[in-house]
Parts: sequence; C-alpha cells; structure tokens
Amino acid sequence: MIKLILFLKKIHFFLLFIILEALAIHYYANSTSYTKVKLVTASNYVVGGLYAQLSGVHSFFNLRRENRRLVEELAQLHNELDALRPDTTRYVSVPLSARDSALLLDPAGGRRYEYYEARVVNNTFTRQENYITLNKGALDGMQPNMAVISGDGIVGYILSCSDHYSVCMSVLNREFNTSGRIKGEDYFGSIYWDGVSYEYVTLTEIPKYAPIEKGDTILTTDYSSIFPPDVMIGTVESFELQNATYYEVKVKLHTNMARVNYVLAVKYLDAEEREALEESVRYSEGE
Amino acid sequence: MHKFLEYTILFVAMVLLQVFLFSRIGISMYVHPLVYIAFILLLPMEIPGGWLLMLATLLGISVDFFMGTAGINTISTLFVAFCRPTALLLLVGKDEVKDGGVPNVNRLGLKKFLRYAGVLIFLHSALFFMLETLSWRFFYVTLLRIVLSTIVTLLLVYFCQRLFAVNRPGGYRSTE
Repeated sequence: MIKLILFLKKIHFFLLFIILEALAIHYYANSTSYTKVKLVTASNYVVGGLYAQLSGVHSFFNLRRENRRLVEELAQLHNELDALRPDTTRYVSVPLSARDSALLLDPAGGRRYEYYEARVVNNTFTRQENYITLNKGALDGMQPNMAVISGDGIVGYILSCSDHYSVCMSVLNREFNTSGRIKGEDYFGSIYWDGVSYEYVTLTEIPKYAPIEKGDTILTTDYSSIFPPDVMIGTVESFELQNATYYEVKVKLHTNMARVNYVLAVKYLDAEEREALEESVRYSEGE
Repeated sequence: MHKFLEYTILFVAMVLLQVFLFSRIGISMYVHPLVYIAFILLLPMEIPGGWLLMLATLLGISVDFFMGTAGINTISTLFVAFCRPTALLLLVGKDEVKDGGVPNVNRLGLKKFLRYAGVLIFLHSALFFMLETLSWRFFYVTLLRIVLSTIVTLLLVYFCQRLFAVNRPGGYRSTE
C-alpha cells in the first residue's frame, strides 16, 4: 500500500497531466461549431461592452474613409433608382390592372428583404474559424440566419444573438458555405474559404464548359435562403480545371474583410415560408 | 502573499492583452502571437508540478472562453506546462533549477532564456496551429504560420518579461 502511494506520488505530475489533457481533448473533440458560437456569445455577454468601446475608437479614425464610401454608395443607389423609375409620361393612358393595385395597396409591397444597419465591434481574420460580433442583438430585431453584407459585398451571416450583440459566421471561416454565380451567366457553384488568405475565397464545381475569364464578377445566387441575390462576392483571380470535370476558381473578395466596419444585416422576409415548404417536401420524400 | 498578488496581476494582464490586443492586431494572415504563454514561462522554477498544471488549465480555459476556441488553447498550454520542467532541466541546467527563482533574462541570461522560451513557444504554437487547421492539405502554410508566430511571440514575451515586476531577481520588486 505504501509502495503504491509512493509510486503514485512519483508519477502524480504525469498522471495529472494525462487526466487534464484527456479532459481538454474530450471537450475539444466533442465540440461543434455550435459550441464555439455559444462560447463566443457567452464571452460577448461579459466583455461585449469593452469590445464596443475599443471598436468605437477604431472607427473614429476611419470616419473620413467611411464617409467617402457612403457618398459613393449613395450616388450609386441614386443611379439605380433613376434607372428603375418608370417613365410616367409614356404610361399615362394605361389603366392600372388589379394586380398593380394589390401591389400598391399591400403594406409590405413587393418587398422581400428588410435591412438593418449595424457596426462591427469585434472581427478576426488570422484564425481558421473567424467570427464577427455586431453591436445589435435580438432586441434590435436581429435573428440567426440573417445575411450580413457591407457596401462592397458579402461579409457573413448571423449565427446567434444575445440581447445586444450578434455573432456572425465570417466569410473567412472554414465552415462558411454559400453559392455563387458568374455575372451574366447561369453557371453557379459553391463558395467556401480554404483558410489560407483573407483576400481570397474559392468557387468550386463550375462546369468545365462555362465561359470563364479572369476578372469576371461573382455574385450571390437565388438559391440561398440567407443571402439576397446579386450581391457582390468578388472577381475571378485565377481558375484551374479539376479532374477534367469542373473548374476551381480563386475569387478575390470585393469586401476588405480586415477593415469591415459598418454593415447591413438583411432579413429575408419569406425565409420561414420557403424553408417550411422545402422541409415538407424533403419530409414527404423521406417517407 | 506578495508573490501571489503579482502572479494574479500577471495572469489577468496576460489574458486581457491576449484577447484585446494580440488576437486582434492582425499583423498578417501568418502571424497570430500567443503571448499569454509568458505566464507559464515566468512561473518560479520551484513551483510544484500540480500547481503548474492547474494554473495552465485555468489559463487555457480563460483564453478559450474569450477566443471561442473550445479547448485548443487548454490542450496546448497544458502540454507546454508538462514539458516545462524537462525543458528547464535540459536547456537551463540542473544547478540553476535547484537554486529556484523566476526563469527570466536577469536570472538565466539572454541566451539561455531565449533557448528555453523559444523551444516552449514553438511547441505551443505548433500544437495550437495544427489543432486549428486539422488538415495536412496546407502543411507548408501551417508550418509558415507556426514559425513566424513563434518568432513574433518570442519577441513579445521578451518585452513582457522586461515590463513585469517578476522580472527582478528573485521575482520581487527591489530598489535599483
């Protein structure tokens, strides 16, 4: 007995290390991306205010750049609005149809997306799993699965909300996944980040007969129930034929993920209806 | 008691600096300095093994909580704590360890300190980045991240140990 105690005393350092390390590895191996998001949300609850203060200082020094970007965006929106505005003089004799009046009288209009402004208070890009924290939470109308975009293009989507903060999956996260298409074409593929550079993402599964060139614009598609269609993702930097069947395209992100500051969170108003429908079809097929 | 207070401050300072500064500066895609390990490196040489491992666990869990990394920091910090006594014996020498004290530049000399800290920081970064990547596909990118982060961390740890009071011989503030 005494020998055993002496032996245990001799190896207690090693034993303790094995036990603690085993516990840590057990926790790590059983962690999912959901666990990590829960951790980030919980720690934001503790130090979110401090993050907000720090990023406030940071964004103060970026006001000039931010202003210029806003004016540019305003000009662009004016141009787009002008292009959309109907030439009333031409249609003056055309009576409104029933469908038109329904569209005009419906309070929601033809609107499918609702936009919320928010500020990035915490953002990393040097890790393999990067998350972004926004200064708006559930009380401000945020909910999981809202897209997050900046004036330049996609940024990520919301994963989880506390009362005053939201944690988003950054484009720069190896678990990020959405679809992208080549502007002007119907070919699409899936977008993911390979974890190497914060400036590039990969667009894969583009059919080999798709006409693709360096500099082509890549936009989001209609297939996502998160991102609105035709949001800028980036431009084609290079592409490579894989297994002689599909292209793997290196896409330069249009958003500078290292400097993203003010963003828009986009709520897809039909998301629930669409997901319920898609789910019901999947369910009945499974039976 | 004096010592206890000093190390508590060092612990808190290291976690805060790591979370709010070093993990956020984003020098480059390849550099993510994990400076908080300085706390483990600067513990007195005569600390009992059990304490060393417990403190390493506490440190790892704190950093994991704020970084949202679910265990990676705890695993690599514990491993460094486990290797520390051996590293001290092999790289610093039996006599120095017997005398005790804080293993900093004043106590060990620059060359020995850099050797000791460098090896442990390398082990820490290697484990951290390999667990984070969990793929051999970008082996060389990961290797580059490990090497560059180790160099930057070593530099920052060098400055940290100079800034803290534990830098003084014996680990206490003395009139200079």
